[in-house]
Amino acid sequence: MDVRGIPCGRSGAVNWQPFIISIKLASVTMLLLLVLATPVAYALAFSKFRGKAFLEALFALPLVLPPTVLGFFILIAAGNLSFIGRSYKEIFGTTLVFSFEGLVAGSILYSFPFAVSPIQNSFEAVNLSLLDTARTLGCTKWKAFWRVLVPAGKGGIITAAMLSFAHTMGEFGVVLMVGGSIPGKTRVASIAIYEEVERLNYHEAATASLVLLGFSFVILSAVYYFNRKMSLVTR
Amino acid sequence: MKTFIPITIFMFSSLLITPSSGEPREVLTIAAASDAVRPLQEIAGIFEKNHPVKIEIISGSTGKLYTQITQGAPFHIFFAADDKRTALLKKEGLAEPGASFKVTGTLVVWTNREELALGDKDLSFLKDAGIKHIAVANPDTAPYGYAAFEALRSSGLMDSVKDKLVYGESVSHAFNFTRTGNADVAIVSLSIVYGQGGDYFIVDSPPIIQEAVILKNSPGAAKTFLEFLRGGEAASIFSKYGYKIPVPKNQRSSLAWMSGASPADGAAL
Amino acid sequence: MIIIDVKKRLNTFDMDVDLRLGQELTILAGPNGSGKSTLLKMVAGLERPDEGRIEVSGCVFFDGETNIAPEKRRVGYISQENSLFPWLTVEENISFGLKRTEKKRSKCWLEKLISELNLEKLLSRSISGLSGGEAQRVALARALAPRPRALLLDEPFSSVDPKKRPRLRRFLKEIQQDWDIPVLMVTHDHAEAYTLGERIFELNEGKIAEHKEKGKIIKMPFISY
Repeated sequence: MDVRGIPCGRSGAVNWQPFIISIKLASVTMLLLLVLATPVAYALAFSKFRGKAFLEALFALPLVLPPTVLGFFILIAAGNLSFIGRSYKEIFGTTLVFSFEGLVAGSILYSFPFAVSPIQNSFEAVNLSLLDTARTLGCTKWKAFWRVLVPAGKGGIITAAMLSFAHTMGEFGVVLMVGGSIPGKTRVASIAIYEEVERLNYHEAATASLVLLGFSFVILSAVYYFNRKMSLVTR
Repeated sequence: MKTFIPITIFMFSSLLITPSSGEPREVLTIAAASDAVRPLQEIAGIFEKNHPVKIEIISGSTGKLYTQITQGAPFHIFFAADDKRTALLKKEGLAEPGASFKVTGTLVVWTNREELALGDKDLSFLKDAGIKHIAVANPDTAPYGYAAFEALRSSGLMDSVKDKLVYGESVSHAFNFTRTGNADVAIVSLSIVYGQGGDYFIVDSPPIIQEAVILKNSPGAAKTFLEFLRGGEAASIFSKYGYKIPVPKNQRSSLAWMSGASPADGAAL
Repeated sequence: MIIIDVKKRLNTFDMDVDLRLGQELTILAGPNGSGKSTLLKMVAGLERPDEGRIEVSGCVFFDGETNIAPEKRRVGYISQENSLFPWLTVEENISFGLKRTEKKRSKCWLEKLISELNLEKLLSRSISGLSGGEAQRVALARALAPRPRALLLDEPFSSVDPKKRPRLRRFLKEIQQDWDIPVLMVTHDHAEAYTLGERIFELNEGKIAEHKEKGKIIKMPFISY
């Protein structure tokens, strides 16, 4: 029974568990996004090809799609009836949907533009003569990427990392559709808070919300601080 | 910035200009628990033909709708999946005391995976290794979810199936998980699965009594609609979707009440 | 010996150049947009001619079949813009082009280079605090540290205080002579061209218009621009 005498099915208020899952999800997503978004940002920054605008729009799509739509799309396109879902089940033995891994996949799609954009911008801001000079000093394209582009674009990469992290921490719609709110696995902080509101535990919900808010604020402050620092260095 | 403000104002004001459609109709808003949405849509369709009322149905889990109502959401009728939250609303003065309408819902286990041959099974089948995910509605906010939970608990199956449970916001959300093939089975209301194909068996559970109440500050049409729900046309729609209508006091015999027969059957008994 | 015999179709004109340069300091002059920087980049490997042949010290960089990547050409290149790496110190910039194994072997050479360019006191400094002249000396040291076959300079002193330029020009001249390295330098500055250049080529719309040799000034002076 809860405060109003309405029977409760599950016990437990918002304990630390949902936050741990959220942090885990945000961290894994952030790392994977850096790996995936960097080559995309590189291609967008340095290649000219037909239809580049369409490709950029495609990558930016998650920005305008309602997260629930995105989540629903994943449910259909990668669920157990789909080719992707069935192949996943064949290889890994478990479903993609209702799993932490499924949330990671959804979060990567959801936060993709937040990772690509800052990196692409910082790559584009790098003076080409820096790269040219590095090549003449013996760097292959690959080496020039690591020895020049990454240090010069560090600001953008850090921004991308922190934005993806913060954005994923607050993710709700996608997780709602794809996660199944399983305690200990897919019941992330945002979902837990929502459920507490629905159970009329306003006090719990408010406390948890403040924690989430404070955490996000710290992350964003760090982003802006680093951004300032970086731009002073390269000036 | 200079052009931005006038453009924004223009966009927003054009949203307010809605085309008028014939004679002005009174709007009646019904907040319905997900399980009752389809029967109510059918009933509303008939009602609208004979009354100058336009009915809008807003669906969600009973808990969510209740929260919205307590926060002042402008609904006129609340059709819940339980009678506890409606009782609270009456106590809090947010719903009209007295006159209300009740039905009893049915809990089922449903799948669209024909090969499971669910029709011959019972709850213990959920322990089977072939069942990886069982979708239920959130037991804290959806009475059907709570009923599912209780059914699993009282049959001693909870521990074995606990890890298989995935939670949807409402019965329709849980149903969707299964319909899209992601969860193997769903424990939801019969009304949700009616006409959707697949296979199901009924779960032996305490009656899920659902109540509809009129909320404060509603138009007179709300009372008219509630009366309509008590009528024969509505009754046949409800029983089609698997609901049992309690026979009114003055017509029933104790036997009729226990078997949950509809008013039409009263005569046969 | 540098052979540059190239043709390239550019935006507003077609480039067609045939130069033979010796172990000396050669000036490439000409109006803006005449293709000087492009020519330099072609030798460095940063741009590709449509056809022709580029050869440096007997090594074929480009011809019908080959196009050697810039990192393999071992030519020093200093671009028009200051392209020192701001996240590295002066010392780290200078040794950027050296492989880890080379760093130990080249210690002597590096020390000589650093002292010739008067950079000992600046080694641990960050790039942001350097003056224009200091920055260009560091750029020179960085380009020369890997002991390149040739040196390509694109208006290296244009952003330096005019009073400091003579000193830098002296440095350059000394290095070129001490290390017997062919230098191809693009400049706008008349005085510079005349003081430094043993040979001066003027490029106009992608083609060599004038060719002067020191001591044999045939036409007087350049078209002023």
